[in-house]
Amino acid sequence: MSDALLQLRGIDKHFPGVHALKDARFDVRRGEVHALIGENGAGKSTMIKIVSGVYQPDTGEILLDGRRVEFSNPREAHAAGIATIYQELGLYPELSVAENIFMGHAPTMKRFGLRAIDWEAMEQGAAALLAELNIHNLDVGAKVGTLNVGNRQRVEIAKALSLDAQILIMDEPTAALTESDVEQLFSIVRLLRERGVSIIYISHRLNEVFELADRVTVLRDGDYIGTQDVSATSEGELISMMVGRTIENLFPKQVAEIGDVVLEVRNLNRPPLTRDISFSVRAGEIVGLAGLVGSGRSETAQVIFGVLPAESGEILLNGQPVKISRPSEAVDHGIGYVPEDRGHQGLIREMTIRENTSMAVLELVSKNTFISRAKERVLANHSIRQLSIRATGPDQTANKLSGGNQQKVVVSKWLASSPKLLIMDEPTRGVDVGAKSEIHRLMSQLAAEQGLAILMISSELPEILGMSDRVLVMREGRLVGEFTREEATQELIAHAMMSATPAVTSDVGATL
Amino acid sequence: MKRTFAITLILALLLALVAMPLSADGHERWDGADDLDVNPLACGMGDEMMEDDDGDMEEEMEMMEYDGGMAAMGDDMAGMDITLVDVPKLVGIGYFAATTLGQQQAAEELGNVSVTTDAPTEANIDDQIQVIDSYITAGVDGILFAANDPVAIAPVLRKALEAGIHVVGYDANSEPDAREWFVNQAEFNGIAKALVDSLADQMGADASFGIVTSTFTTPNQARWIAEMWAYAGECYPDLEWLETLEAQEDAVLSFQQAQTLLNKYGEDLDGIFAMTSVATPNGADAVQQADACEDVAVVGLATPNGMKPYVNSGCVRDVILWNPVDLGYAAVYVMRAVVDGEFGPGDASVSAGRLGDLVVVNGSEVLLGPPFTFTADNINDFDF
Amino acid sequence: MTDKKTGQPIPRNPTLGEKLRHLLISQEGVLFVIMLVSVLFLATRTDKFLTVDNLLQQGRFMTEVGLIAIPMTYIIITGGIDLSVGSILGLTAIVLGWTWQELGFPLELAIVTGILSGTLAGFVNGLFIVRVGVPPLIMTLATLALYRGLAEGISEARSARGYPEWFFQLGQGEFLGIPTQLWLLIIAVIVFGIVLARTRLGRALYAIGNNELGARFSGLTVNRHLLFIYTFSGFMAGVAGYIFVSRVSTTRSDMGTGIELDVIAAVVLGGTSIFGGTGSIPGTIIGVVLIQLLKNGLTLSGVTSDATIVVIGSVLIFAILVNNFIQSRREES
Repeated sequence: MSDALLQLRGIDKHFPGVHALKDARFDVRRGEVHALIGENGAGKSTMIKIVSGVYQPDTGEILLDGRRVEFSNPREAHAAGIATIYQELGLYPELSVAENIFMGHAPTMKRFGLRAIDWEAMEQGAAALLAELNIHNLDVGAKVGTLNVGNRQRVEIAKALSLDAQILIMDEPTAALTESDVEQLFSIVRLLRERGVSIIYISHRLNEVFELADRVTVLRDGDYIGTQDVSATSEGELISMMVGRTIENLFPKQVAEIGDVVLEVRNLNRPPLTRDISFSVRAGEIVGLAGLVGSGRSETAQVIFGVLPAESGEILLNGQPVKISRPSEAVDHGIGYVPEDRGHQGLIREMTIRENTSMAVLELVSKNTFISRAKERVLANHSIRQLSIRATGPDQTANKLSGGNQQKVVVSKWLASSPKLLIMDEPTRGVDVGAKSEIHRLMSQLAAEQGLAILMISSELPEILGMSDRVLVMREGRLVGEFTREEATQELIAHAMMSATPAVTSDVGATL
Repeated sequence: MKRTFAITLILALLLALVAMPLSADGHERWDGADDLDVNPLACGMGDEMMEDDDGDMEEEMEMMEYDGGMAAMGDDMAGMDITLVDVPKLVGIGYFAATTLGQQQAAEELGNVSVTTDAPTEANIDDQIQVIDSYITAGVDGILFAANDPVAIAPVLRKALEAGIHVVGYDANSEPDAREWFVNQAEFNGIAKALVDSLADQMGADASFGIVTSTFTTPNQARWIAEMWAYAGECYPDLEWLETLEAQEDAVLSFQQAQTLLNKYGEDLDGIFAMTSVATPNGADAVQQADACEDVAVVGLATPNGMKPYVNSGCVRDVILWNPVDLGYAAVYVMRAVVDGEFGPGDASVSAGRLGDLVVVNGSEVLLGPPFTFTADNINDFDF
Repeated sequence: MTDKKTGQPIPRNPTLGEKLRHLLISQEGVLFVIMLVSVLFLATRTDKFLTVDNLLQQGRFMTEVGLIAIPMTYIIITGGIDLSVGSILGLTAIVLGWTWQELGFPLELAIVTGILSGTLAGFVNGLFIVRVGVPPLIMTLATLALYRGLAEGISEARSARGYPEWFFQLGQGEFLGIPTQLWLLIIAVIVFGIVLARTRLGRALYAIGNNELGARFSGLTVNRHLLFIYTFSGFMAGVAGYIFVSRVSTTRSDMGTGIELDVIAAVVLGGTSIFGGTGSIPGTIIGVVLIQLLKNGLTLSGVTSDATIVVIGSVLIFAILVNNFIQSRREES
């Protein structure tokens, strides 16, 4: 490791009540992509914040090009050639691409004795930087706010390069990208690597690590676990390094007894994204709902849950037609909804676990409208045990939890309401590997042991295939396919999701 | 549907509530006059006549019985140093700065009085009550006030009287029994007479005029207009009233309304009565801009500072108001006389330093005198 | 899942000392200490301040602001605002006086009509905010003007006066040695303080304020709650209007002008976040009391009104800074 461009040794970092990093190590060679992985709370964020000067380590040293350096703020790290591209991009939406790229160091010229921005030079410089990244279709004069996420990210990368960054830190860069944007990002990363830029790449997605990285370092609970050459390791090894045990089965599907129809929808209509939808979900059954983003899956779920009430069509619960025009009515009818946007829809992050778990069942924990905190605490403690929520206690605020544990709190909120039907929209998005398999195990268990009917929306085909008893596919607001667990394959579903020929639409409604 | 209907219904109800009080009302009087009884003064012109009037009135009217309140017996402070607090409607405006100046002049002359002025920065009835209450608790020998509301201020003033604190009002009265004396700067009929006399003197007894007021229901303005109507009816039956326009107390609107009168009546218009201190300078401005200073006389109530340009340029001859410096000055003299036991129920006049003897009217009011007319000769001596 | 990961230490019951410390560094605790310091300081400046009579009199003066501050706390906790309370107070007063004097209602009925019209005014606010989706700031800014205009239109700038003696009992009388309206405030503070802190309604308000969408997705009836609190705000402004008329013996259309700012200042001083989600009735009431005592105490120690506002503004900023500092330290530890 003598050729390391950046080296971190013996890094310790404490926060009040948390030992975030314990004697951690990390190094980056010139021109390599080094992946940094670990479950949420493993210390990855702390590590990159130390590298980028946001935090200062309690002990330990940072060597850049063999020389010891100390960054007391992000500006100093910047000056040393370290740039960070965060999940939440730090761009100004009202400014143009060129202005964003040169924010803070715009080329200037003398005019009327004053230093003025040389707009022409700036636009040319911006175009040149983008061209270096093989990006030719981006208008440097466009407002950043009008760009899609992928393009915004490219602007951010160009901005980092305009500062002559030697080390680029990318924190979950693909989290919000579409398939084609991901491909383009990868080619940019490879381009940069060839040019000798070192990249620290943080991701939850192991397949990206294998596709892109040269080496991978694993952290767990603040401990340094190890660094491997990607070519010499396997997915299974990395997972067991991350979670500290081997996960035999990513999708622990139990055999469940399928009972009566719990939910039946008939000709549900709320254009444009819910058109003439008919299907049913039975007790103990997990029905997977697949489709591209924008195909109307979440919207259909929200029609059933009353967020976007149906314009026409019928909803039947246990055979009884019901009218649902707002979420509170859906809850009264025994429907739970774990929404896709955990932070905004699922949780009230500023409130405690206790308050979140009782949110949908306030009448159960109260007497004559007075809430009993003791009852709430019992409920919260029960949820913490049942779902293995990692928290300091029921009175911890939800935003202090990792993504996976936040998701478990959302699930526990609905379990507390003893629903007949649970709709889970992207239940494991942004959740680390360990928590993901816990949530999957829980879903199986609920279906098999309590006969819960589950409608699961997912963009991950392995999850759909692994968890579903039956798979429905949506495209452009319509139901376009239905497959049993046995007949479903990745190719069949992908084909149904994307094919423009409405092959099976006509008779799906009728057979259900 | 039901919801839309309900919302529409509520809106309709609200609108009806607004509209109802605005409709219905026959108008015999000039627009903007109120419907209370009027008491026009005798006809006549000029200051000398006015003073004679006062003399006549005293004899004509049988002396009204004292209807003010009484401070509880406290220590006899006659001739001793006393501390007064002055609570005007608000602080921070030129008018009350002038009354404060008069009070300080009186305090200096007397030598045994100290006055502090303290009031809310907005004319808010509740804030004023709270300020007075705090001074009662803090303990002062006398309270001078200008009420934001005659009734609302009464309980706290009564409380002061009960605590043995002397209470004298000026500028804006309270209920009579809540204070001992009120220094009346000018009676409504006096102002009305001065305004109408000035117009008739400038443009003749058969002049045609319009009025720019604040709103038809603003109490003081409505009272003045009613008194003007009564006085003109008796003394100048040939004066022709054309129209009254509302301009709130808004500078731009006042200017526009004066313009409206000028454009609408053209040659027929001889004069404009401006009833607020905003309407007068802006009305004068409109006349000056229309180059009509010779043909249209603006007569109004205003403070001198705003009117200096028009008076000095000769476009406006008379500005009617009282002298607020004298008003504050008189209030302190009255208070001193009350404390010293020299002035009490039944007295017909009180001595007020440089102002001489001021007469008692309406039972428990001390009249400052006839309204003060600012002209090119004296307006530059005033700064408020 | 192994036990190692879930095995959290079971929290033991906090000792009395810890409870006390916790209370002291809470928003309300910090504010209470600031209030005590202010009171002690003012007491050293003048012996007229810290007397039973004076303090009770201040209680009388702050009742209207205090009553309106209760629903305002609710509303601000949900992330809303109600700027129209001052105008509703004025409207209530005018309707009370007008129905009694002009329409010849019995005074009792006039009082009820007045308060009902205040409630209706609040309901209209809520209806437009919830059903039409007008932002609360815009809606109540509009009705701030509309209700005031309505009051002026109805009253035609005339005052209704000459109420019978019994009418003044609430505003000027005493019960068991304490100003009558202060009893009402004390009861309201206790009842609505408990409602906010302990009931489902209160919990829902916090949930809405922290994340309205999340509350909706949890099956809470968000619209119903919002409609209720704006109506409640109108009702309390109406009650305050009645008390105000009873205290000053007259009705005027400009009554309550600017009171919304006093109320909001007290609520925010009391630790309620203007962005919603946090706040409490005890905090609010300490805010109301602190402002009232400062106003009074400073006047008594010879500070004039214009200087007093400056001092109050400074204390407001100071208290908020101190609280932010302590709360951020508490978050860390």
